[in-house]
Amino acid sequence: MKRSISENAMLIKRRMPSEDILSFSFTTRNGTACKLFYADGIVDKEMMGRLVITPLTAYGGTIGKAEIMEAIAFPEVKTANRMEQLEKEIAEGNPVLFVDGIATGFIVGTKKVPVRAITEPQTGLVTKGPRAGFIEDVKTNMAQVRLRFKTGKLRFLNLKLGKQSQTNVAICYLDGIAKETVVREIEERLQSFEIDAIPDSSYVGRFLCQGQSLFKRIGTTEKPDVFAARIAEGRVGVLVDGSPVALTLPYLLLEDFQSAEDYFVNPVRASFTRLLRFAVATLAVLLPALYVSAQLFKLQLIPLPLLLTIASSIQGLPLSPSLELFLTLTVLELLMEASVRMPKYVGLALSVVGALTLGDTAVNAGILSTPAVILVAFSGIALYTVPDLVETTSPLRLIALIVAGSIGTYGIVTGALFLLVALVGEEQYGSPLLAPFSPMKANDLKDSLVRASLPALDRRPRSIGSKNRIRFKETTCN
Amino acid sequence: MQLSTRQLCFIAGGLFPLTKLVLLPSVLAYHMESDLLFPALFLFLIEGLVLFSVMHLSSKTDQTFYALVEDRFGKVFARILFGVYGVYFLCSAILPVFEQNLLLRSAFYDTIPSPVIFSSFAVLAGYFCMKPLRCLGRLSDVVVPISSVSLALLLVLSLGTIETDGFFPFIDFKANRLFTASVRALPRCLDCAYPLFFLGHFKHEKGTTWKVLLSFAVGCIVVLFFLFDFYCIFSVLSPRESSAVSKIARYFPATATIGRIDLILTYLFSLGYVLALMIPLYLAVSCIDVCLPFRYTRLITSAAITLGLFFLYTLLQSSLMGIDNLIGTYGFPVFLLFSFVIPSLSFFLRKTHG
Repeated sequence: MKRSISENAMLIKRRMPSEDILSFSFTTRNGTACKLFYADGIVDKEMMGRLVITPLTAYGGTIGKAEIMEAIAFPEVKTANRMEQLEKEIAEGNPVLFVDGIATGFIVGTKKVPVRAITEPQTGLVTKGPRAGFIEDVKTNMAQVRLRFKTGKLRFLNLKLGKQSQTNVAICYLDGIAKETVVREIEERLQSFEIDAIPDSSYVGRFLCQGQSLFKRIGTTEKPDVFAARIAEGRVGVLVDGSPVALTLPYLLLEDFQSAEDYFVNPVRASFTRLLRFAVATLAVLLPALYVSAQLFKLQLIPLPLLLTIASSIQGLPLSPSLELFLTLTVLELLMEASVRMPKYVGLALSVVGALTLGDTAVNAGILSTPAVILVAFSGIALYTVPDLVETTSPLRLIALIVAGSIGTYGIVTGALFLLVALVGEEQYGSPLLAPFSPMKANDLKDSLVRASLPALDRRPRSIGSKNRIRFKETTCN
Repeated sequence: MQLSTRQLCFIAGGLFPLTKLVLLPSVLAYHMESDLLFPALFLFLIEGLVLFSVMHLSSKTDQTFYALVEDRFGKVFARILFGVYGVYFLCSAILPVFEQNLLLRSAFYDTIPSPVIFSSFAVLAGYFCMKPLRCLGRLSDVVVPISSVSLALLLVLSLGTIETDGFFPFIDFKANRLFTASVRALPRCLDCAYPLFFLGHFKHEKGTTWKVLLSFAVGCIVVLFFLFDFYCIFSVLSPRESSAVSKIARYFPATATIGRIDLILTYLFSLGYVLALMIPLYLAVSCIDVCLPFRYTRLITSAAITLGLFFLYTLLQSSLMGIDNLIGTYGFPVFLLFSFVIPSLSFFLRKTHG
């Protein structure tokens, strides 16, 4: 840094020649030149004018570092002498002030990032319970978490990831509850990789899991209440700037069968819906496979009246049962993929083409059978009872279908065992993926596929390995 | 520690009995008719005694079986013994693995299945054998509750069709028949040696021995009840009903309207059954891995098991009765030595410190 304002301005301009880096020059009352550098669009200009420009133009005293700080009178002002740091601050949205004769840059925290309003996330709609969702701004997300833990034990570790993007990443945990080794391991893993940019939290998620797996190995949520509940259980959260999806670790497969609403309703109702979700998701994966293997290898699986109905509808079909189901499922996957990518106004046409042309007409033309279309429709809907696992269950359904078509139900049994052998060995951050079922943790089963009443959930899950196991104690009021 | 006490109990009480529910009931019925419970009871008692001996040994030492043998007889002998045990486990697994074919034909396929279907078991066994012992314990946590509940439901569904008249009086047998039946049933009752190879991989806590023995006893009682139930349903036809578990609930009245739900239960039961079949194969790979401690021994042995099983099955799939006769006639002393005598004597391997 130089003492001369023009030299400093030149240095900054050389480092940041981009056209959205603007400067504003003004003088104090006694004629000292000042220059503010800022990135257009991410600065609160009104605040900058009110807090920096107005007081300094009115200031006529001696010019020194302490005097300038006093004149600005804003808590978020800091100084820096290195151009690299000043460059970073400007890029982040904090204006930098140069004053002639002072070899220091004043960083004013008047950053104002354009953010969308806090809305209910599409992936976590509830009929009961909080409706707030995370947004793309990490600071707002951190504030939403902070509002739920009014304690000094809530810790945020801020990191900057991405060589070029310098994305803010916050590791969040409750001190004394989360396992320190997990926090340290997450921090080390995040700092150990070099990448140009982090467009989304899923990038961070990839680096936090080691090895390849068909299954999800990191928890995700867009809801601050769910995030807070997981942090309170002893998990560690990761918030990434630019992404409304927060990550939580360690992850248990069971998490995706649970919903935030389960904790706001009667335990019987919650247990029923959880069991239903599990049963329906399993059926969604296995039903097409069972149908094919029953038709090809074991007709006795189907009750006689139903078998007669199926027999009449498949008569004259040109395709084998496995090929028929495989094609129908592929079309379903295709329709789903297209409906997500397609502009909304074309969606109606897609529904008509998908439902009428591909479904009804194919049946009338004798290419597909009615039971196959019904089965695939059921399977397609049922899979979305556990939406967070669709990325896994959808390919599994196709694999099960192929196995059933070639080996039959025995293939499904051995395939299921194969999957289990693979899954029981999966472990991330010391927590087995299939816990609390394998290894079995009796106490944790109280909040698994069934949910006990809240007073019974007085211990934190052992599967996560939190340091403090007592979740709450009952105290008697006299 | 790779196994917990609970997992040991699950393995002893929930997996050991499963291989005894396919061909064993008809074999016993063939030799003993309505007295089929006695040889089973006799074998279970001996198995229980051996299991007690092994569990008692585990309470006195934290060492593995290999370390105990090595301490007493030296490295070379220990490796040879483990190599022999590896081969023994492979041979002892063949009959139960081939018996699986009966269950497949009865519950999984309407027609005689192609040998290709067996490849899925061979690949699964090979994959499982490469995993650490912890995997067996964790699998038992998931699979045993499922197969136990499905077996219980199968028994409940079958209760409506039992006819106890044919079963009484049941104390009418000669010692030589009991001996013959026990000898023929022996190849399906060799599980008691397995915990010997789990030594050092689980922590013996207070009460572990009794918990494991109690679990084993519960499993045996379920098998005895199954045998009773089976004979009461099929009576003199029992020797011909070779895949007992898939047949006991087939006459459940509601199956005509809701379909063969007993088959769905049999499939769930098969999860545990297939896992139980893989235990001796797993131990064979582990023993060979100890005998030949090279980097890729486990991988190569597992691959060899996959290919070997598939090849043997393709070659001998229709020779189950011949294999059964061969093993039943000549295997008796070998089974006795490796599954009963050595595990019982292993108690004396421990060193007394002091």
